[in-house]
Amino acid sequence: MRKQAITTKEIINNYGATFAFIAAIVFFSIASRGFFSGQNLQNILVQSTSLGICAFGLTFVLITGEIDLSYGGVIGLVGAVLAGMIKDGHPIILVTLVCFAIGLGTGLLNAILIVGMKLPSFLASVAVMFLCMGAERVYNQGITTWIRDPEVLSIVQTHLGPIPIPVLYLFGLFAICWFLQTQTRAGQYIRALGENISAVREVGIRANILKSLVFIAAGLVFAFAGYIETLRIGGAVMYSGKPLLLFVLAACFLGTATFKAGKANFPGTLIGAFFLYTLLSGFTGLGMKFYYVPVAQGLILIVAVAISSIRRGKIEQVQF
Amino acid sequence: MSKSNSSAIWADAQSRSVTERWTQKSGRSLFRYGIFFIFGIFYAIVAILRPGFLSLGNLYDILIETSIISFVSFGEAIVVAAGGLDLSVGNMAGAAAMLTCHLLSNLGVGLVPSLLAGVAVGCLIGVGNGLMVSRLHMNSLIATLGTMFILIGFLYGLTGGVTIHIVPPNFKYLGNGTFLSVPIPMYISGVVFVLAYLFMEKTRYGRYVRMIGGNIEACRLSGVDIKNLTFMTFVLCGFLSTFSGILLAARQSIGNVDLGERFLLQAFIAAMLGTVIFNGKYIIAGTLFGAIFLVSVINGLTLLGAGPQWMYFAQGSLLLIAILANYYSKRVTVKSRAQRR
Repeated sequence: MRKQAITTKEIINNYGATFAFIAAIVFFSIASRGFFSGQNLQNILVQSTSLGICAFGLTFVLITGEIDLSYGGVIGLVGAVLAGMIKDGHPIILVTLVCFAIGLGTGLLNAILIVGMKLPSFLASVAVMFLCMGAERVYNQGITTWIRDPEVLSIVQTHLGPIPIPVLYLFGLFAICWFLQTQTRAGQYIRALGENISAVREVGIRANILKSLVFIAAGLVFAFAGYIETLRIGGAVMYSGKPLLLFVLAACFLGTATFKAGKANFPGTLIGAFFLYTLLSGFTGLGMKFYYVPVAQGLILIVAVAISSIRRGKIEQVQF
Repeated sequence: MSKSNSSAIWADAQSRSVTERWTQKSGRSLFRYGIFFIFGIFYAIVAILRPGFLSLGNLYDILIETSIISFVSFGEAIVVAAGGLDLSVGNMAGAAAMLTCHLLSNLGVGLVPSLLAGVAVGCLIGVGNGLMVSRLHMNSLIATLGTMFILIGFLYGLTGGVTIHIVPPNFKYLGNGTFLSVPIPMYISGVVFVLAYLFMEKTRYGRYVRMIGGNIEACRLSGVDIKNLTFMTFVLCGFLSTFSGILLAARQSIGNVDLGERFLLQAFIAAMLGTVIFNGKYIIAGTLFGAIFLVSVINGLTLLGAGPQWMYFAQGSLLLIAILANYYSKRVTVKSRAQRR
C-alpha cells in the first residue's frame, strides 16, 4: 500500500474550517472576557441544539446526494401542533406521538415526491416546506402559543447533574447518527447512494427504498428538532422554522469544509453548528451590532467552502 | 408471399407508430398547453364568483405587480437556464432599493446618481456571485446563501434597520406614475422583456447559456466559454433584480429592510413555470406568463376571501404543479424523441 505524504495544502483543504473554529474560540477568549466561562460555553451548546439536531437530518439527506429543505416548515408545524395540543389539555405522550407522526408524514411525502415521482429534491422539498408553513398558519391562526405546564417544559429545560438536557439530546443523536453512518453497512450504502447510485443498484440493493427511508428518517429528525426548539423556547412562535432555514444549511455546508472536503459528514455538521453560534455569541460579546453577525457568518461560510471547492476544477450545477 | 407478409408487418408497425406518435403528441401538447387550461379554469371560477376580478382596475393591479416581479424573475430564469441557482435575488433587490432610498432621503443625493448606485450595487453583488461560482467552483446554492447572509447584515447596517418613509416625488413617480395612461413600471418591464427575449433567443450567447443548462459536458467539448457565460448569468441576475427592488420601493414609497424578501420565492416560481410553459422553449416569455399566473392566482384567491394563511399553500402548490409539469413534459419529450429515432 502506497503511503501518501500529507501536504499542508491538503490539511488546509480538509480541515480548514476546523482550524478557523479553534482560532475563533482562541480569539474570542482573549478579546472578550466573559466568553470563555462555563456559563457562556454552556449557553452556546444549548442554543445550538435545535440547529444541530435539524442539521443532522439534513446531513443524512445530503450524504445521499439530495437535499431536503422541508425542515423550514416542519419545525414550525410541529411547534404549533405541540403548543396547541398541550394548551387543549392533551396528554404529553399523545402529543409527542402526533409530533413525530407529522415528521413521518412529511418525510413520506418527500420520499413520494422525490424518490417515487423523481422530482428534483430542492424544489420538491421547498414546496413541502411551504405547504407545512401554510398548515401551521391555518392551525394556529398566526397566534403565538406559550406552554405554561412546568412538567412538559421539564422534558427539555432541566439539567442532568451539571449538564443541560438538550445538550445530551444533541450528543446522543450525534452518536446514533455517526454510528449509523460510519459503523453499519446501511450507512455505507447511504454514502454510496450519493457517490454512485447505479453501482448500488448493481450490487443488488434496493436504492429507492433506502433513499425513501433516508427521507423519512430525516423527517423524523426534523420533527424532533421542532419538538426540542419549541420546548426550549417555551412556546410556538409563528414560522419558527424560518430563521433556522439558512442556519441549518450553513451549518451543513460549513461541515463539508470541516472534515472531509466537499462531503457532508456528521462531525463536520456538529462543528459547523457550534461555529455559527460561537460567532454569534463572540461577536455579540464584543459589542458588535447583531445585524453584522450574519456578515461574519456568511464570509466564513464562503471562505470555508471556497477553499474546499476551488480545486474541483469545474463548475458545479444544481440539478432541476 | 414473404413480401406480402413483410409489408403487412410494415403496415402494422406504421399504424402502431402513428397512434403512438399521436398519443405522445397529444401528451406533449397537454403539458405544453395544460397549464393554460388549469389557469383558464381558475380564472373562470374566480370571474364567475367575483365579477370584480375582470374589472379594468384589478387587471391593472395585476399587470403592475407582474411588471415589478418580472425583472427578478427574468434574472432567476437566466441563472436557472444555465444550471445555476441564485438565492440572493431578494436580498439584492432589497439592497438596491435600500441604498437608493438611503441616498435619496437621508443623504439628499439626486435621483439619477441614486438609481445608478442602486443598480451598481446589484451588479457588484452579481459579480461576486459569478466569481464564486465560475472561478472558485462553488456550488451556486452555497455561494448565494453566503451572499444572502452578508446582504442581510448590509441591509440592516445601512440604516440600522430603520424604515425610510420620506422619498422625493420624482422617485414615487417611477413606481406610481403613468405615461399615456400606462404605468411606468410596465414600460420598463416591456423594454427589459424584449431585450431579455432577444438575448436568450436570438443571440449566440443566449443559446450557449441554455446549452450549458442542458448538457455542460457537451458544451465543454464543443469549446463553449462556460466560465464566462456562467459568470455573466449571475451578473445579469444581479442587474435585473435591482430593477424589481427599486420599482417596488418607488411604488410603496417606503424603503424597508425586508422589502425584497418575497421576491426569492416569487421569482423562483415564475422561473420554474417559465421552463414549463412553451415546453421549455422561449423561457423568458414563459417566465413572463409564469409571473402573470402567479400574481393573478394570489390576486384571485384574495378576492375569493382567502386570508394570508392560504398564500403559502397556494405558492407551494403552484411550485409543485410547475415542477411536476416540468418533469413530465421533459419525460414525454425524451420518450418521443427516442421513439422517433
